[in-house]
Amino acid sequence: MEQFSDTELLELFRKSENKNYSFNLLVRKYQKQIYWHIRRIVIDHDDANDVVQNTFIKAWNNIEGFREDAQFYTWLYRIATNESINFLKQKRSGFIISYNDVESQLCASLTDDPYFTGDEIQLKLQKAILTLPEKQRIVFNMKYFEGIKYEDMAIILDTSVGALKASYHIAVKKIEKILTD
Amino acid sequence: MKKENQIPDNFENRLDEFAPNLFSIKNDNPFEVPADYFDSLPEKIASKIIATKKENSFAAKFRIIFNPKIYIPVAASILIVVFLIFKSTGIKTRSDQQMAYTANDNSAEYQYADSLIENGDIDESMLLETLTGIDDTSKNGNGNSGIEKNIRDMNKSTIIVSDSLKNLKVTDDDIIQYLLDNDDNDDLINN
Repeated sequence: MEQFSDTELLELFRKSENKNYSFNLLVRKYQKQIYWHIRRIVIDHDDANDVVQNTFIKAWNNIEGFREDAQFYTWLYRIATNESINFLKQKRSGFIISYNDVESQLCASLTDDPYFTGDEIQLKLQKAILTLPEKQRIVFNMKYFEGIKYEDMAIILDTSVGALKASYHIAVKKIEKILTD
Repeated sequence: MKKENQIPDNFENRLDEFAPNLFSIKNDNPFEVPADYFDSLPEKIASKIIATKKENSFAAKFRIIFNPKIYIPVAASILIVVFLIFKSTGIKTRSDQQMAYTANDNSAEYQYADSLIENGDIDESMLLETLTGIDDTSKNGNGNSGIEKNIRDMNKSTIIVSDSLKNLKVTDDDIIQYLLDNDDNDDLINN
């Protein structure tokens, strides 16, 4: 399945009588990347599960309007990022608590999360990442864990490459400071 | 002057130099998912898409039915049609009825009245009496105007007379027999 390019899969989707099948191939190709991207933002597995499903449903609803001049994966990442940010926004408005309290709550859930298998130092790193502002945190995760190119990140996050480099630089310095203390 | 926050060239590939503690931590994924999660996820998404499609189609129908852009013109059209039907089928006000009787000179009633006047069966004074009676009757509150009642009465008598004439068959023998039975002419001659 992995041998199909995005263009081939999209062509198959457009021409196919059974669009559900061809979309299913796209889901299978990108589900892990998208899930982990979302999971690093929302932390909790159940939340990530909801957001990843919403992401693919939104992709299904808008795929007819997808323009070929953009890369499919950056388009999908953009939807996933926006869905994750909106999810956290809803969480904040639901709790009627401040931004930092949500991050503290995510931090606390890390300790109790049965699906977090990292060691002590990895837990410390994750907690350090959660101290970053939301956008900076997303940039750090995308660069440090996912290795996404700045050019693609610029498309996904609708930001300039220079701003992304600066953001990553600041994030690394902050985290290094926390790890050193 | 070198800025404090100036980004070193190729910073992201030189973390060992600029962030040794971070560099010492493996960037492995510390999270896990339940067993077989990724095997079942595409089916979950597919079933959710189908459910969403059904919801959307229902919502679309609901929106069509209750869309003000549709139901307001439809309601307006119905009102116009109902108004036109009422207007054309004679559901009229009292003034409309009176106007109709005075304006429509070709109606059967008026033709009959004209013929009565022409034949001398009714004169203008009787007609005036009839019309004067209209207002008095129309004020009695029984819902029927005087002209309606008078014309209806006239119509009734006309129908009775004309029906009886239609049924009457007079032959020559009948006339001869009538003259024999009523032999008054002799008296007239004698006188």
